[in-house]
Amino acid sequence: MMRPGFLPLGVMLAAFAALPVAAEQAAPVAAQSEAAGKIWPSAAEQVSYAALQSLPDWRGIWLPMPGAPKPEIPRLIGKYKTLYDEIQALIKSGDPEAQLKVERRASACEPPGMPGVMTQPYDIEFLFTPGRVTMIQEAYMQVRRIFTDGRPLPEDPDPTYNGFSVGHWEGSTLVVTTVGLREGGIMGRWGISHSDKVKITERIHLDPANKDVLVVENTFEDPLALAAPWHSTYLFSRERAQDQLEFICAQNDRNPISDKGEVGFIDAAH
Amino acid sequence: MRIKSVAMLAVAALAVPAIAHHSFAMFDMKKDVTAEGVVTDFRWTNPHAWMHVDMADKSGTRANWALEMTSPNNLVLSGWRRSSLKPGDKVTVTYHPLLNGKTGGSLVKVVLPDSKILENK
Repeated sequence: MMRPGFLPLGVMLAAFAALPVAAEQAAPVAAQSEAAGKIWPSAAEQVSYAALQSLPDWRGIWLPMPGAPKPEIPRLIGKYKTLYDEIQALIKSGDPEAQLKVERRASACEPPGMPGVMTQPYDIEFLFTPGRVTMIQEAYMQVRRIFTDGRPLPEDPDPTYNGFSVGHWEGSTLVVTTVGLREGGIMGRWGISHSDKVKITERIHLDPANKDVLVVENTFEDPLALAAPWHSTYLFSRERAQDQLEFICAQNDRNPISDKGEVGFIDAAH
Repeated sequence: MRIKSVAMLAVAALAVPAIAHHSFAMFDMKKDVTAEGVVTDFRWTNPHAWMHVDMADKSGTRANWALEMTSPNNLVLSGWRRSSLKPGDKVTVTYHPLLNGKTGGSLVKVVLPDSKILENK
């Protein structure tokens, strides 16, 4: 029996998903003690799927497509600018030996992390469940969990590849805030890296002129790496006739990256 | 999957992050080499499919070459299947050679025994 004055959790969930939130509302941050052990609506025992019906149709897979506006040159500072200048010099040299040193990953199977997970030359797909949006990137089968159940951002998250994301719907636009990313991740082109204090805000929506185009508008803020917010846009085109395929990078990775950052090639003799 | 051609352009320029697994800086992307050979192995695997081919280099020396392709996820869109090649197949391959001169490259296309052409895209 429901106590008078309390709404069933399912009804509250439905209200959450459908409720328009004021534009540019900053995602709240929770103290660790407050967030620890709490059951948030996306995993609560009581659930309603009804609110999903009012969300936009993002089904199908989304292929990266050209045509997005070219981003401005980021106003990098400190060691982040130093690295960018170094990488750009390697690229502009045209020297094949130098260009082999552009990559800085430990393994060619190491995923890029956010936001590189959005710019792989493979498709993405979205799953909506109550209080949560899940994005799957085909390359390496990377997963982003975007909690839309009202939870705050963690105050002191462990840095991870894809970070911690919360989101809310402003009409048919999903606004996502991501923190908790690893120091040195790549923000866009080679050499544009961020600190572990970066905050990424994405506004994700269908193109009003073409519902088969998905637009992701990014704002990067980083007190250690950027003198001013930096913006970029990604575009995707919908494909409804295909599904994502499995992608296990460890199956046959024959391109080791040396400790000098050079990409290798294991030939047939090995 | 599905946008290899975009990815290849991007990696050739080394300026856009449309790279999943590795850059193509190790290959001479401006050079196409064509040779006849015999398939010894075909690996339908991620992150790349590979074919191994016994063939001669420009000096006539025969060796087993490793030719890298994109992923099965992309190749299926160009008509490839895991059964497209088998050991013993006599093929003509076109590839971008490794810059370091070793017996490997990035496949451009293969002409199968029945003259069908499969492209790596």
